[in-house]
Amino acid sequence: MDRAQFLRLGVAGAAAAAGAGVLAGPAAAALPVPKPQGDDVGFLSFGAVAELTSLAWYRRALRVRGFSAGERRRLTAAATAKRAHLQRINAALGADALLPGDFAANFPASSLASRGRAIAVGREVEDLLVGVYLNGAAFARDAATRLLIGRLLAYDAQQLSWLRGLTGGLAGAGLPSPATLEQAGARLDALVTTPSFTNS
Amino acid sequence: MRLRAALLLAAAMVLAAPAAAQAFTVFGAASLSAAFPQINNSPRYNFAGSNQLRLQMERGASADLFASASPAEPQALFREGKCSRPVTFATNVLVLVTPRNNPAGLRSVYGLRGGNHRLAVGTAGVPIGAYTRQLLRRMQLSSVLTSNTVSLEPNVNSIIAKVGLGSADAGFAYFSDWRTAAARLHRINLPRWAQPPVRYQMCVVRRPGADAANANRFMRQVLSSRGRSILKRFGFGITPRG
Repeated sequence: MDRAQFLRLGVAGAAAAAGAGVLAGPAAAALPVPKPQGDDVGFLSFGAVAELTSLAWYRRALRVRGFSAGERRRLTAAATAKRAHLQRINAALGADALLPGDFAANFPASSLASRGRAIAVGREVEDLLVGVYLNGAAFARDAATRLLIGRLLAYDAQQLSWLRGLTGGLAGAGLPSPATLEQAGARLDALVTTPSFTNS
Repeated sequence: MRLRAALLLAAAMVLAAPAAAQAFTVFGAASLSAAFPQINNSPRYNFAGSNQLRLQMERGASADLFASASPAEPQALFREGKCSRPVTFATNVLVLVTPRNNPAGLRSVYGLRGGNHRLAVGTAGVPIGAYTRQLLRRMQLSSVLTSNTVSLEPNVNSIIAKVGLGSADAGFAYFSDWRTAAARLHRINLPRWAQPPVRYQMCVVRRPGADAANANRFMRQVLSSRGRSILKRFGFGITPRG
């Protein structure tokens, strides 16, 4: 093994280790306990509602025809990861955590009528998550909250890339632009409902 | 013998008199002040901020039923053994209200970021104030409480009054409050994803001499189909039966 081969192997090993960390994701590694400060709660609160929506999408997508067996395995794994994301965010939010029944996903029936349409909705949710997490990873004040958001971002960016690839898009076409809560919130509102309040 | 019976009857009437004279009393969150009398107009009502009502009860005020705009107060009283296990009977969401003609031209809550508006907000201790702060934290808009001229109000009725009279450009209130005052107020919806969970709970007060029978009857009336229908008409959300 010459020096160049050794270096290539080292780089590949480091990448694999980093990749394993991302894939094992928030569920496996012990992270410092986030103590959100100031606006940090906003990133996490948005993340909680969007992750809940995303979890619902992965579960619903399993009922949509047209996904291959391999794709279904990936959808199932993603649903498991999303549930873990939600638990981690709720733990970080403490008193501000989502309560059961606060929110529910609200996908128009037609949006899950075909594989292509379903993927478009899934991409939309992941796009929102990645956009907000990009801001959170950059601007959250609490270091442990930043780290948590960074880990969530790594996973969701990977999912976004996979979903792009499913519809023939370029999987590695780069991250979406960072999104403010005002921008992302308006788009997320179209996909969620508050089941405990249906009067308006 | 007849005299003895008459004396006994008179004594019984004297003893019973204070209880009969004291009407059954409901302590209710200010936001319930329009709906509750439509469900039952016989109790003596005391409507105020839920935190104030709890304080009054802890100091010995003679309430028989307590209905709060937040679970925090009845749950605390329940833990102290001062009321029965609280029951959720309604929900709500927050809205931003402005005077009907919206003189400040606000179109969205994000318009408050510019500052220099007169804003009516509940104090941090009253449920509407706590919910408002929670919503603003979620939306990363807590700074609007310092960049605008904020008047802190003891309950949601004060917020509605202030905005309705034009003494404030906007205020955070419940959807049900806007519904009741829709002729005077313009409503700006707040993002659904950022809404805090507004849950109303009620409990029967435990204290010597409390009228538990009437309190339980009132609770059943609120939870009945008619009660739920009235609450809904006044803009409240209704929780599933169970």
